[in-house]
Amino acid sequence: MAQQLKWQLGTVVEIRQETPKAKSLILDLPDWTTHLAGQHVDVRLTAEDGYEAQRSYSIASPPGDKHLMITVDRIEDGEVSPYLTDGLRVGDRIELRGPIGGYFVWDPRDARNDGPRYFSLRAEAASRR
Amino acid sequence: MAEQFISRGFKGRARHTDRALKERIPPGQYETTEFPVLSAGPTPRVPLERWDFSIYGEVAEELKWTWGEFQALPRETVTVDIHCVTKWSKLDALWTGVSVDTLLAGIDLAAQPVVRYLIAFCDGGYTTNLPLADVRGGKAWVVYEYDGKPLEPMHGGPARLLVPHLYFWKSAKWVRGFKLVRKDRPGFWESLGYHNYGDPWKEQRYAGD
Repeated sequence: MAQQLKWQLGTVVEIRQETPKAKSLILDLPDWTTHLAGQHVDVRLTAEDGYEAQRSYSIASPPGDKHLMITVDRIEDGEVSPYLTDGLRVGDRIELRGPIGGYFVWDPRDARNDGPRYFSLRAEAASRR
Repeated sequence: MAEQFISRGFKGRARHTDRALKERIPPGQYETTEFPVLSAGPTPRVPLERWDFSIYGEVAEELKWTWGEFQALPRETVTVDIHCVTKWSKLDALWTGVSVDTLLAGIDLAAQPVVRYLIAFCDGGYTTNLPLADVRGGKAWVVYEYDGKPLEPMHGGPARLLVPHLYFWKSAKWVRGFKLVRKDRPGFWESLGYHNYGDPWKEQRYAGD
């Protein structure tokens, strides 16, 4: 039986404006080993009445980085992305778990040209709800 | 997490005021009225004259239906809620197809109780594994119509499996048959970090959940 991916509290250490609509959140996590390019995390937001919303975001930072980065595109009528892009401040915390997924991944040992792949990864992250 | 963490300032969408509707959305899911398309690879396109559906593996005799024969099988129209592991749920989706009970009717499953699983196989090489108990008793269909129209290729047409009580990756698109087996074996997503069973009400998204 595989070990369950536990929810953990990440702290926002930096917010970077990527495009007029997209921001990158750079997160400090208590328990993060590494990931493969292409994997994602699940983010969970909980309101005061206990209501929760979850969404998946591609990991935009390369494996081995000290901090984890996700890039979030603001969806106008979205439920989660406006909160992540406009509601969060440096020092705030969000719950997440991961890394998740074993198919849409790249192992750098197989990579011949990392540039376009990194770019496509960032693009994918930015286009994801 | 021992104590519930509250996301400062997060309100979320307006909740369903209708309690009955609210109770149809499993934990961590949100409702969409759209029909998002997600797949691991390109959409395969098989001409109907070359399409068939087969049941093989632990069976006395392999069963096979051509497209025409499959269409002639008794059909059912069902309205069900579907839940994708990527968090969207869609309520009251309308499907038409053949009950898996009908497909398995020609097999004497009682005579071989050790055969307890099936692997659904598909054009494009996708597979998913299911306990036989989860596709019998009116719980699963092979559907070829959605919302009264032929199932579009991007949604799994000409035919897909429909197992609404499990996360939707179990409802394999482009399904072409079942292999009946004694021993459970993980399918495509089940080998790549996703849960082996996938009950949305228990939030069995990933291995270990």
